[in-house]
Amino acid sequence: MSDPFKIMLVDDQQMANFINKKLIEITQLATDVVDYTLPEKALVELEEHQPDIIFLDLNMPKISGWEFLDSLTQSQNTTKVVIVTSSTSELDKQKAQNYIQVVDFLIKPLTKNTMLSLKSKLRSAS
Amino acid sequence: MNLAAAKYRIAYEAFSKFSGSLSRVDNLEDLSTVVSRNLKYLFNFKIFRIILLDKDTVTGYTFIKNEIWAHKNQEDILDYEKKLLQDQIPFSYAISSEELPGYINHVPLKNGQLWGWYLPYTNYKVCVSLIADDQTQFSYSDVDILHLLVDTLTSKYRQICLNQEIILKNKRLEEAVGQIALKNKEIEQINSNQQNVIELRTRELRFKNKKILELSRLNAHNLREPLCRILGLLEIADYYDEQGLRNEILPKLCESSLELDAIFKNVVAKSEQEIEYYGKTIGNNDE
Repeated sequence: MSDPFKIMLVDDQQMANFINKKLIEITQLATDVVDYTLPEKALVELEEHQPDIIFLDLNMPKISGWEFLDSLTQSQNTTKVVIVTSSTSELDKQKAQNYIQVVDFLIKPLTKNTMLSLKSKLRSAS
Repeated sequence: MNLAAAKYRIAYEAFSKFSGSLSRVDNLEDLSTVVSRNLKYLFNFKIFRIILLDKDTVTGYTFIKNEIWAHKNQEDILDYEKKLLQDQIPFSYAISSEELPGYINHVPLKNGQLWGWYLPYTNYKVCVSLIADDQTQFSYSDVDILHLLVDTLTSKYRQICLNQEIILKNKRLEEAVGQIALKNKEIEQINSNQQNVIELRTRELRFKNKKILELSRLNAHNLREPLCRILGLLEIADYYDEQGLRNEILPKLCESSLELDAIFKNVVAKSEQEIEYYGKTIGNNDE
């Protein structure tokens, strides 16, 4: 994966995006970050941004993380997705494995260390 | 044929007839009737008495011509019989009607003679007495046939008693079996009811457990959301200066903490509400 690295944050909680953006900045995971609290809007503007990776929350009103993923599959969009959720449910984790584009399943709160691990994981995969 | 032989033959035939009648007897009433009817053909007497004693019971009969008196009580034993039971020595002496108890003293006696024998059997003590007089004479030669009569009568008596005991025991056994069957049915009924209650309670508990699990999962999720934000804010707090902390981080910490508190309160209230609701409606739900 080449620099500059672009990440799209999709979480209905503005504050979650704020925190994750800061962590990305600190760990230098990406140079460019766009954030959305409305997943439906993020889907529409996805083509425009063409991010390398999407940080996706699962528990959102209107469109859930799963519906967001289904929508990507339908439009044959293969952008890599990292699920970022406050759910500790093992069922969710298993369900996530059904989506090929999901590269990681992270449980909130994210930390510098989880970000750095993800960074090295993504670098080695590229 | 001399007189003794003729007499023996008559007695033998009478006894055969008596035995035949006795074999068809199956209760004590018939036993005394048969004895009464046949007694006069075996030997001469005015009054014939037999008392059978076992551990607890007294059974006795007094036979007069066309009369039978049955005895069942200790008090019915006459004084000479008591002495006989004690001494066990056969006797024969003169007796008059006045010496006899009321129910037999109407029998006219001309030079009455009382005979008494004590006969022990395995299960009974038997006391036999006989009153004869000049008109109806009893002789020593009749003692053998009298003993034969008592043997037969006693063994028949014993047979009837045992039969009655068996019938009684069978009846009790049948009653017991009936009781057991009844109790078994009751127990089955109780077990079946118990089973139904257990199934119902198990279903209720499963349902409640499921609901509680759902609630706890939902609660955990809802609670974790603001908590994760607080932890996230703390994670990035190091990268802010004092001004930044005050302006950026603290208000967000405050907001998230308040949200967490509100959710906590809400969760507790809602849990109580729902548990109460499911507790009430459980019986109508087949889930």
